[in-house]
Amino acid sequence: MATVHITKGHDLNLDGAPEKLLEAMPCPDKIRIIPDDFPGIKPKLNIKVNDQVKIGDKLFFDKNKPSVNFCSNVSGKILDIKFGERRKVEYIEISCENNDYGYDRNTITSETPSREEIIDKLLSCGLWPSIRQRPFSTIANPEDTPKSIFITAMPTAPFALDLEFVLKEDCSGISKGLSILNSLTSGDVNVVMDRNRSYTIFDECEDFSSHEFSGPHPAGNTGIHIHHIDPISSKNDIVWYVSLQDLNSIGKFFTDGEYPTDKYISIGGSGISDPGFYKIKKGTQISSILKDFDEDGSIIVSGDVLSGDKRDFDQPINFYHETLSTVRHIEKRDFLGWILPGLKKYSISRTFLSSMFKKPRTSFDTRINGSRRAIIPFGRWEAMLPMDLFPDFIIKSILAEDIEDMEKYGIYECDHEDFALCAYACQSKVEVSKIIKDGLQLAEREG
Amino acid sequence: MKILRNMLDKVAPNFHEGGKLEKLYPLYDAIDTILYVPSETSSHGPFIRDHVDVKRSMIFVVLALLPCLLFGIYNVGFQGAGALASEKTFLELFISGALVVAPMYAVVFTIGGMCEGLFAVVRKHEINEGFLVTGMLIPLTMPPTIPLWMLALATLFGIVIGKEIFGGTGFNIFNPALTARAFIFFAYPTTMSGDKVWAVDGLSGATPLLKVAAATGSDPISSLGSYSWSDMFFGFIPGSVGETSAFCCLLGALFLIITGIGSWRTMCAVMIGMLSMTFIMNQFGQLIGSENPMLFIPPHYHFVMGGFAFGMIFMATDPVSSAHTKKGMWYYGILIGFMCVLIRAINPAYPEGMMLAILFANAFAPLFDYYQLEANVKKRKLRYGK
Repeated sequence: MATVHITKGHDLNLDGAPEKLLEAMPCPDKIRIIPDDFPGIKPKLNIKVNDQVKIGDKLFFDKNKPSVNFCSNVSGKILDIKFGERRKVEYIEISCENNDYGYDRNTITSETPSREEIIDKLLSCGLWPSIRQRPFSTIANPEDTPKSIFITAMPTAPFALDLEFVLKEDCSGISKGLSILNSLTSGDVNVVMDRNRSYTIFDECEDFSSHEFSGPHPAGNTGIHIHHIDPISSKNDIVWYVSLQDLNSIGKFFTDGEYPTDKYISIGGSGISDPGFYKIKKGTQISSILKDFDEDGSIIVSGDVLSGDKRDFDQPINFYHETLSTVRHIEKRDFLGWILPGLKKYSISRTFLSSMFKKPRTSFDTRINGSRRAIIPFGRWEAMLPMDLFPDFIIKSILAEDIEDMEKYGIYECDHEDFALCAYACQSKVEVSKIIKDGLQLAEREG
Repeated sequence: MKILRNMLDKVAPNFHEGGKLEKLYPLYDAIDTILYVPSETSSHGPFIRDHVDVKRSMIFVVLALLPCLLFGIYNVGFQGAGALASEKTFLELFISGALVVAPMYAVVFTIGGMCEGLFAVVRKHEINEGFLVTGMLIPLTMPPTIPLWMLALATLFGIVIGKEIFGGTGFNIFNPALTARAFIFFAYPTTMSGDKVWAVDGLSGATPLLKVAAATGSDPISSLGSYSWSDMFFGFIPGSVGETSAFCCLLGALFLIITGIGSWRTMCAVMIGMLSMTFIMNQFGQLIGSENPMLFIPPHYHFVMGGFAFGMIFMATDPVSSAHTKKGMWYYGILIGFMCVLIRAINPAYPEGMMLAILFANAFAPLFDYYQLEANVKKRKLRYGK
């Protein structure tokens, strides 16, 4: 067990943070599944328009790893398959008609399933993609044996879910899930909790090693936990990670064959009438989640505002994201921004008068608030990255496409979400997290 | 304000792609973004950004230099008036100082601005705010008696050789303002390093460092003549425009540290380096029974003499040319303190060691970073093996 106190980083005090309320949203008429949510896969379809599918039926698989299936979480008809350029599948639309299962739930449960059995069932029913690996944050390779598995119970990103709060009444699968994961790894299943909180959801659990972290965001990011507990040394040094919700689902799946059709999300941001925690059908379009939201003057982000993706109103939330955020979109230009005292301007730097006072809840917008410039090392990146790495040197080696240096400086320990705050705080407006993403792609391809 | 915005928007198409003045876009962009923060929005995560930008960061260095500048202007008038200073009012001294300093700034910003603009247009990059700091620093490091043509040449050298040939702000190895200063020193040594730096109104006075350097014996304080420690601390001594007042430099340091723009690590390290080297030099002087008074200068005198305080606070902390790693900053700073005292004490030809000490450490900064990186790589390797 490790206890780590993180000092670097920052908790942004954003306006429109979710309240402590939990509500289940009604089932939508239809859902959408976006293959692009799964990085690095090449989807090959098993279905065509107008086919009937049931819960757990295969929709498509990964051409590179044909054993990895992606299944339907609803029972209904395939309404539409949208193809983009070069016949890339953009989305699959399925109507939600009933709750019929495509597999026999009784065949799933068994007292002590073997490792092969577990992997086989997770793969064939489409639960496997919820297990991801570091480095590269891609779907875990079923042929690997990871050195350890990480689960975070303390997301710290803006508007993050309060997992203890939402899972309190619904944590029946956690214990089973942990023992299932234990049989997949040669090492530990590490659960990281917030040092300053008490948890009830793990009361009946064994078979895991618990760690406590505290401090500002990104203290709750899996990448930070891996770095401090079981760091990744090379491309072939593999760690898996699963979200706590998915762990719960895996446990329930092996208890009574229940398929994870729903998930909990948090909703926050300016213009949201009831920010809070909600239970939704996976794949629900954002338009049916944010019913009375006025789209004008805002952008919608799947995930948190620091590391999420921009989404259209008719798209669903990313498969892996548990947050839906909105940010005001403004193009107004402030007069003489470089010299005015800035009483109302939120900044982590101490160059605004506002930094003398406690930071009030602030409504942010999408402006980058400055001109793009060359990297000038004022030390703002280091102050936002609680890892024993040198962010400027990693970024420079990526820009120079020097894979040898990237590896030396620890690119495999990096993930774009851990660098999102660096990009937020950068005075030169360098796209730090995007560069990390590109660097990882380069390293995956050629390293 | 609306009118200004409308005017800028009206001329904007000329500077955009396909416009008549497309090539001059960097100039338009510079004016436009000085007046208004750009409207660019983030197209990918993070979707929110901090309000701080390079303009604000650089302007804050300029603000930190203001006490030095204002006092420097007054002091130029004060020193220039010589014995007549007591008969003149504060305002008269300030104005006569301004008459000397204002043309210096006019020359530096005209030459430097043209140079920066030309490079921006030809190399198609934006005009970087780093120039404001360099332009602000150059006259402050020069003696007020410097001929303006020399100043122009130094500025040109500092901007082009010190910065632009490397690719502009962010890529330079040496501090551009110090490069300009070093150019003058090496190109025109007779004008710069005689003991008659000051020749305003026909009067001349040697800087404290030169006085001590010219003396013999083991008592540097007595060779300073009428300059007391507090004169030197507050800056009522001859010297380069901005460097004489350690007090004003400390005000600037306070501002830089509070706003987090300047590195307190570097400043502390320079102090530590200076203190320890002074101690060594003092002991060494006694040991060999030297007649060189420079060996015996106590640390608090080193601090107020010459450009030490100014260099420590405004030059050594330049984030681009200093070491980038935190531990590297300590080594880098200590090296500056060490070298400064060493040059002052051992090299009689050039008693002001700060400029060369910083340039020397600039050259070594990447090496310090390199060792920090190697140490980090090694440390992480050990952790992986665990």
